Amino acid sequence: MTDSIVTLSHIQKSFGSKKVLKDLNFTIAPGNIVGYIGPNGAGKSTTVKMMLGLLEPDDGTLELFGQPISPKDPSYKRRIGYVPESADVFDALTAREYLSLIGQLYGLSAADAEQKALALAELVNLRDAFDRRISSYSKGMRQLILIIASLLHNPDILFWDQPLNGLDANTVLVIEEVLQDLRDQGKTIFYSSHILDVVQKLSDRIIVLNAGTVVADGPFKAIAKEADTNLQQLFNDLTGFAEHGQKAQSFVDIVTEGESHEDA
Amino acid sequence: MKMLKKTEPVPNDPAALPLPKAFSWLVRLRPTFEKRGIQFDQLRLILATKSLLASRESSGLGSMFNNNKRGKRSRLRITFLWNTVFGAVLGLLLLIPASIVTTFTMFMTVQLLTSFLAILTSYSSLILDPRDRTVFAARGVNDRTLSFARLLNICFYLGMTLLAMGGPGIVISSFHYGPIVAIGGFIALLFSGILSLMLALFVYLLILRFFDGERLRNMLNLVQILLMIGIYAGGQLPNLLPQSMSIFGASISDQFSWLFIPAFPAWFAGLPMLFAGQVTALSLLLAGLSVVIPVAMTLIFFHFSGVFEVYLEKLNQGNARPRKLGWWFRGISALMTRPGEERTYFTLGWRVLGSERDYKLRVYPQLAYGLILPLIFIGNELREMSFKSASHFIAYAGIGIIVALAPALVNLRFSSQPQAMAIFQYVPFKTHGLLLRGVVKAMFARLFLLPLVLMTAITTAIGGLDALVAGIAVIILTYGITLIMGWPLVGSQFPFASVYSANANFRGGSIGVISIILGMIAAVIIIFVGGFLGGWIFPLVLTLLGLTFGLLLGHFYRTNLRYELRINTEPE
Ligand SMILES: Nc1ncnc2c1ncn2[C@@H]1O[C@H](COP(=O)(O)OP(=O)(O)O)[C@@H](O)[C@H]1O
Ligand SMILES: [Mg+2]
Repeated sequence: MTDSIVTLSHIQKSFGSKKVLKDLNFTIAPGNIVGYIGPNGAGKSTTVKMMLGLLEPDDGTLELFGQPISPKDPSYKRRIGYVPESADVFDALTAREYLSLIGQLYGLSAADAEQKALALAELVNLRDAFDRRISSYSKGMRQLILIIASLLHNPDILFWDQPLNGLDANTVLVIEEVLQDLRDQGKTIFYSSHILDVVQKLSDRIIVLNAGTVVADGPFKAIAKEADTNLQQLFNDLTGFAEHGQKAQSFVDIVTEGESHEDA
Repeated sequence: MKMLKKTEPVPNDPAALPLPKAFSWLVRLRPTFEKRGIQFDQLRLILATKSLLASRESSGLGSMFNNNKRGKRSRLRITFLWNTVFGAVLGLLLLIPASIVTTFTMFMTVQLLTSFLAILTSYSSLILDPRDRTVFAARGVNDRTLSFARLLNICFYLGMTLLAMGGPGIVISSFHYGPIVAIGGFIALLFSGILSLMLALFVYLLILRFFDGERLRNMLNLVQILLMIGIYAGGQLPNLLPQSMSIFGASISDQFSWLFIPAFPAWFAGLPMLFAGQVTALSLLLAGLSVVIPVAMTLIFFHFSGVFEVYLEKLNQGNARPRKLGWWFRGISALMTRPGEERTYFTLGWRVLGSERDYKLRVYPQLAYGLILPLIFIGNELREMSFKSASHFIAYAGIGIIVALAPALVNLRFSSQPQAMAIFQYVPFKTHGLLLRGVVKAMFARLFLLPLVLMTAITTAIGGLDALVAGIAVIILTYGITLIMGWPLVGSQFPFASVYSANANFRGGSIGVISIILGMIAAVIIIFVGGFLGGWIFPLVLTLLGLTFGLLLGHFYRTNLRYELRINTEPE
């Protein structure tokens, strides 16, 4: 218990009258890759934002690095690398400026931040775009900037909210490798994604969130009840979704309804 | 890549993010700040980033930071110059032959309104930008630092505004009352700026504390407008004193009265009075209040500034339940639009305007300002009139509302989700003018019609038929003018398709100031002429004018208007 790097106990959070998180509990031991999955609106991003102190839980306690997080002392954030879900970057800055800013916010010198950012950008083919404004970037390029920004200061734990959004298949492979190597160096990675085959392959542990509570937690092998299932199948079962065939049929019926009418 | 570099020059050492010159004095205070829990390095980075961002926007006060951009700088100068012209007009208030307490109270009322308005409309997006939290707070910047950086930024802009709007008046007062009084006036002006900033911040703080979601936004708008009215009312309070009529027409008595305490715009007359050698109980009280209250509010605010950041997160909260379109909407849309395409656009405009926080923040206070400003200028006349003829006058003063027209129209170009308008790019869409007309009409119906109708109802109840006729004439004329001004201000732009920028208001800045001046002149002339003419002829002329504009332009929009369907997701 003492060696857990993240501890959430009895976390609750509502927005207005909408209860988003109801009694959320889990702990994370260092040196793991933890996949955090759940349907849209399950509360994944909300969880991550609370860990960064961007939102306060209504109830429950949240400990990072063995300490309850406190708005008075945000220095723990220096040990976190955060990829936000929405690309809240300053579009009018170039990647060089933006990454330098983030690096300096984490306490690096301007020169170090810039040099490191440039080296990382080169590895993911962003060298050419480095001095262009981020507003001219494609979705995938922005995502890479966010990923680089989260790594500049060599953090101990990564909170990545949908980091694979918009990345091409090759880049996803690179990121997978990177995460595994970082894990092997003792870093902790907590990420969410909707690309379930990647999550299944990559994660040492998978936490499934549905309707504000954890409905499955453990290595894939442990949470899969049958041997020949995959995460997609499991996800459907856990989130109570079975009728996709019928839904699709009704959908198509509605789409083509008007057409056949006119033709007749 | 080289070509890209050419079109987009990067600053000499972009990564260093140096502190803007306007803030270089901060370095000396570093130890003091750090003792107060402010992370100085982070503060420097935030200020540098914000000023870099501001300078990237093609116009606005932000370009003041980067002196090496010629084109931008001259545009900024023009804005500043127009503000100064406006300031000079306001400064004329100080030449009115009356006691210092009277003239300075009037002057300071307008200054407070103007600076408060600037904070609400132009800088509120700096104060209330919840996105900063993701970038800065998530990276370990503490709330106090973020809050303080915002405050410094706003103070810089506000200082510029005060200088332009109040400076000319101070110069004028130095000729009229002598330089010593002018110095007193200048100090009072600075404190009035602090007071309006603190008023705005406290309002935000309280509303953010107690409200959520949709209610939060509505309260923000409502309270802003109430505060503007409060400032006006505060400035008028001393006029209620019984002696005030006797001295010089409508001079405020300079006898001590408790009525001065809630009359906060009058406080700022205290220092000029003292500096003029009038050391009385009244001047001491006023001067004291004008210094102590703003300073106290600042100290209290610093105490709470951390909480402010936490509350800001609430602005991010979406509201789940959209409001239903009520009978008012149905009636108005049936009256103002034909069924079919235009009504669809009218509805779209109505809904978008109903949910755009930035739009409301920028424009609603201007509306209140437009309603109040003529009253300040004719306040003295009104007091001498019978209740009935005053109501007749006020009906005409509704024209002052066109002060708000320029910002209301210019801001139609912006939206917090410009990408949503991309739908017009991929459906077969040809009737550009109808979209614009529908949106402009929706804007008029939402923003202008209701206050004008309410005002007419009230004045009619008091003043009878004459006031009713005047009210209707004003409504029709305002409608015509809306269509006229909609043409140059939004005509070539795809509505709701550009992202808001902190400085967007200044883009229409000079046009805005021109329209304020025109609006004031129009209001004053019309009020006087209208008052003298009375009867039917004058309102008939206004009505005909409005109808002509409306019909001609309505047609023009439909047939002649084309614009590029481009989405600007970057501040222009
Ligand atoms: N700022 C907010 N205001 C109101 N509701 C919110 C806010 N943020 C999230 N929600 C709601 O909370 C729920 C969970 O959101 P989120 O954590 O983003 O889900 P996920 O990341 O799992 O898709 C959603 O129903 C969403 O509508
Ligand atoms: Mg999410």
